[in-house]
Amino acid sequence: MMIAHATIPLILYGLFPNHISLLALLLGSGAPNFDVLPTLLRKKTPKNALTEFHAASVLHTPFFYLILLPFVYLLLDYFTVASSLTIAISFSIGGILHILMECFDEKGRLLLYPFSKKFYGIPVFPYDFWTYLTSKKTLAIEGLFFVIACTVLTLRWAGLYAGF
Amino acid sequence: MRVNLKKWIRANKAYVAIWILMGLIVLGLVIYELGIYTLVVIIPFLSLFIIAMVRMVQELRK
Repeated sequence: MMIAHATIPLILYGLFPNHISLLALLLGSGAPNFDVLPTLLRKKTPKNALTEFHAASVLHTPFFYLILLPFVYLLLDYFTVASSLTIAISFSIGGILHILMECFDEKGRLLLYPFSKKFYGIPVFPYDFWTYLTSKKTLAIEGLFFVIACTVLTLRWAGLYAGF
Repeated sequence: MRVNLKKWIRANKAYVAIWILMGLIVLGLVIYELGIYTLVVIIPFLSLFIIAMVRMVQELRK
């Protein structure tokens, strides 16, 4: 899902360049996918992709990034990194944004974990990778956000828009 | 879903081309914004990418 990993973070950064660290935002938006490793290393493809470990671990919960936020901030602050709060917030926003975007697939996400282990979401996109790539609806939505990201950043580079 | 990768790519080359093109442009935007620091974003996920590619090549050779 390109919108969860790059285009939405780029749009957000394009709109609020003075308040967001793009590097931390992109790292945060990629962090949930570290739970893909067991899926990549599996020997057999499960019949139902919705039952796999990927996207069902604590890394795919907003709770994880809210808990992580103060620790990231304190760690960065300890090493006297400039704008440590902005970096910590950007990282958490990236992670949460990724999960919220992925709520729009058939699987949904563990939005209310640890209070509930139910998957919540609005099934707009397919979950299966191959179906996702060849869905016209998916391509149209991804393409729309891709165009918005390009437009926002181009306007900013051209000096027509300074950002909030 | 199980796919025969060779057949699948041949049947969906237009989709594959569009996704690759969009991906490369997005990568270009990130490189333009971050410069050399793009590597900081890419390197942590490089191992996952390499494993995925190795699995894909294994599927293609079957």
